[in-house]
Amino acid sequence: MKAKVVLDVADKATLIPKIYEIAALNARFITITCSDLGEFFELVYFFEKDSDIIGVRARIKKGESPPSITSIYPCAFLAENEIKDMFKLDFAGLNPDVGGVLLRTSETETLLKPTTGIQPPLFRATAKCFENCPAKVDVPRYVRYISEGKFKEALETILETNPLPAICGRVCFAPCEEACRQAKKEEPISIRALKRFVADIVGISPREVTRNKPTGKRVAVVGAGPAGITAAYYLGLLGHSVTVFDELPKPGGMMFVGIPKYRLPKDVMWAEIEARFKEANVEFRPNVRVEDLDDVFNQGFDAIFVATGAHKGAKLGIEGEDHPRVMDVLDLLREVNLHNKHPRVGDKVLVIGGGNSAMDAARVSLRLGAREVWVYYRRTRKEMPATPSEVKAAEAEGVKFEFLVAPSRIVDGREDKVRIEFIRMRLGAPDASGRAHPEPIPGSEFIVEADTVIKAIGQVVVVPQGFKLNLDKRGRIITNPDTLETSRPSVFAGGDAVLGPSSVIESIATGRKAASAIDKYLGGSGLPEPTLKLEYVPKAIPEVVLEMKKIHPPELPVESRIKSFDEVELCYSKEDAIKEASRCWRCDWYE
Amino acid sequence: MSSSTGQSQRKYTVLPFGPQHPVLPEPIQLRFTCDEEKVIDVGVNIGYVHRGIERACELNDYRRNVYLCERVCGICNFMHALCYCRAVEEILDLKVPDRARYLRVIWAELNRLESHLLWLGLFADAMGFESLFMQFWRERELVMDMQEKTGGNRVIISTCVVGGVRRDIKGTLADEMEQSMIKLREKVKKLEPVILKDPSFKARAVGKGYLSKDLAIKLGAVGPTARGSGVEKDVRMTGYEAYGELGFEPVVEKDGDCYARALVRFYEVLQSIDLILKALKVLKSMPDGPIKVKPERWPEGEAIARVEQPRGELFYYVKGNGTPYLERVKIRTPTLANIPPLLAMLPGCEIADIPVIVMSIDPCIACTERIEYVRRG
Repeated sequence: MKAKVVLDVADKATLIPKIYEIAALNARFITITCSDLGEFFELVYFFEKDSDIIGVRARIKKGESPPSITSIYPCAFLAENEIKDMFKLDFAGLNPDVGGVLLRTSETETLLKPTTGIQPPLFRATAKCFENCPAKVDVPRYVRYISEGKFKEALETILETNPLPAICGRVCFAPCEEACRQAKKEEPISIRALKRFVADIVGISPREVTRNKPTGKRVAVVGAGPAGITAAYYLGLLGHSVTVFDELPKPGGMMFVGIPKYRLPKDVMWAEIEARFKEANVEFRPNVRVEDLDDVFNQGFDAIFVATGAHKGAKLGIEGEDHPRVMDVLDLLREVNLHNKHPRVGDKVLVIGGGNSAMDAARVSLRLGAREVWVYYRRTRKEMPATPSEVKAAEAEGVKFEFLVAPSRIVDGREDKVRIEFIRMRLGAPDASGRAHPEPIPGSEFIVEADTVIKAIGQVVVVPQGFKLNLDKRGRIITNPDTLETSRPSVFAGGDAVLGPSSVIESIATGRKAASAIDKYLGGSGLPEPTLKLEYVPKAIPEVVLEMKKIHPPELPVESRIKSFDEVELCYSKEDAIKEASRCWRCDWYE
Repeated sequence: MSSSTGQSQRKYTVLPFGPQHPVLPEPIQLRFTCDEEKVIDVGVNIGYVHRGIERACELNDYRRNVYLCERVCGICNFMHALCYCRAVEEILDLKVPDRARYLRVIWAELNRLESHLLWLGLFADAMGFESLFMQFWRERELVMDMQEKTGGNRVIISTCVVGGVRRDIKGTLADEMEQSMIKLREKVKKLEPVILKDPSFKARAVGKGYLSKDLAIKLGAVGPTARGSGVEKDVRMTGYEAYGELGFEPVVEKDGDCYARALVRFYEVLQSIDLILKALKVLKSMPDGPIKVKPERWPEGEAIARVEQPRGELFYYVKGNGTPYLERVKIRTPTLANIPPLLAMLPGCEIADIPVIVMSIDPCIACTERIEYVRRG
């Protein structure tokens, strides 16, 4: 009846297989002893099998980490933590947090799980997605609502700081997704697609909203782009009487003329803008081009918000640029969007630029019948400012790329063809923007012939002279960054006219900021600062969340999509959206 | 402005239990996540009373470590000394005299009686059964008196040494002990109906803190915690010291709840009394002889020893290097092994049952602490 002791020797590599062997015998774990033998630690794992003691001896060099056996014997976590604490010996794979690691165990296979359940946090931590969003939309909260199936609440959350969820859900370049912690494994949560899903499923129709009592003040908004719409919406909700002027027949500004229909169907956009205007009781006056702000003041307005945008294409600044077959991307898109025409671009189209508008130009050209579309960019793919998903989509549709080339002059060709000379570049030292500055390689010039050349190298701000506002060197309106007040009293400015060419979400952010500033200027108390509301945040189980795969929103097949301007990206199904939203790690869970 | 007012969400409470709690005089922290009255999750935090005894064992002569090991746990002091001595004796190849083996059993079982009677009282106290608590503790005095008479001290008796024991029990002292144990058995038997029939005792203990047999094995439960779940495991079954000669059958209950663990301990009290009486009988018939042998060299090599402590299996690993000072002493107390099963028992219980369930493993925290754990944040 005397206990037998069997000692086995294992090294770091054979330890785990050995422990598995012992586990297969149904042995009971007793303990681990550790002793410091100078150059290495000696670990002895003790198990009991039918009154016999089985010991496994392993020698671990100092500085190395032995594997944790808690995946085989979960109850070893105390013993391993003990050694970790006494010998400063790290176990690979050991959860150092003894708190809440062992759970309701009778059914589950593995016992090592972090705490689940909901813990009331003291306050919510600032999640990266919230931090990175210019408009400070409470992303974690609405994603959480979606995962719980509360779509209406999710939409209301977005609308607190962003009045255009259906539009942003389609065109936003989603800085939140870049910041998402899941992005570290290349699978950020599709926050943008989730936003679109919520906007679509709840439906774009005027909601029941509570407006403040009319204040009797009148505010004019010049420009019905994202900044103007946002400012008008929030000012209207605050009780002011708002009138929006725009030179175009329909609202939307750059979203109307500058974004192709396959990314943003115009009826969705107009429906959403109209809904917001209706909720906030905003008057929209189309086809009015404001040239002089004094005229507006004479109509009895107390304040003006200028959001005229950046609508003029930048120049290449090379010889022969005014060739008839060289056009700007904005002109092309305006033609397609505003006049609903399908201009002829020919068989071979060459796009110059590397931003999102270059991708738009290329993809629109394909839809206009071009057989071969090339994008020429002066840096490499890594430095392209276009969002990777857009580049991928363009590539899928058959757009080809040429990197490290810059146009040097346009060689006079035939009337319907354009010959353009390029020079090869190499990347030099980083410039002010942090990207490598391209330098031309002398003597590497080559000539390309194309039916159309589309330049998509950015836009410039042009503010009418009659506004009498102070402008900076690049033509942008100078404002006080805190209040967005301009050099003229009662005049505020926002959007691309202040920021230079930027994005929808950044314009929305300035629009909301301006609305708050204008309200304060008119005697109100402004809008509440976007903050994280206190709420009970469920903590996610990392193991479960990590195992969930990203669900991509459905898309039209390439063959059919390049033939029409139909929307390419489709909406999530309800199940997929809930699944995708539940991949959130709850970074705002404050421990 | 319109804003959403989400529906009232389900709120969970985090309930810290300890490190200072009336039920447990010793510091351990359990953190319960509760859904209203129901515990849904539990985390543990230990390391409040780390004393560094293992390290101190390396700094003393190996013979003096006996007294240090006794101080790991006051209530089962003899068991710790015994376990340490057994490990050292195995390294030194010492054969303990027969008389000493029986004497060791007697003191070990006295320790078990002391511990189990204390626990039965505390368990009754945890469920608010004050009079039962008083009764058990009154009977326990008989055991304490016997320890004082045989060892010279109520608690730390220091009778075990490497190679045997320091004192003998013979003559009138043995008779007195026999009388005392018979008296104790009568008194404890009187309390049996309370344990078996009292509805309030059963209401608080039956079905609480269930631990299945499979889980008890998987999580390494030891002692009455394992035996209450139907695991037939007792180190005494290996027959160390005189247990082999005395004949030993473990007390096993199958239900796996607090009541089963209480029954195991209650019947172990009666079993211990029987073991002591049997050992005394053998001792009386045995001729007088030596009660210890002298170790003739310094320990070199390593050994492990296991002893069944009141709370379960006690484990010592001793490594000597041929000097009077040991290279490593590792102590694994049963409470450490029983913490993972405890964490598995708790989820699903009501807040009011927490003290009863925690008490049901008989936690002895100060023995357990080899770890200085600081929670991050």
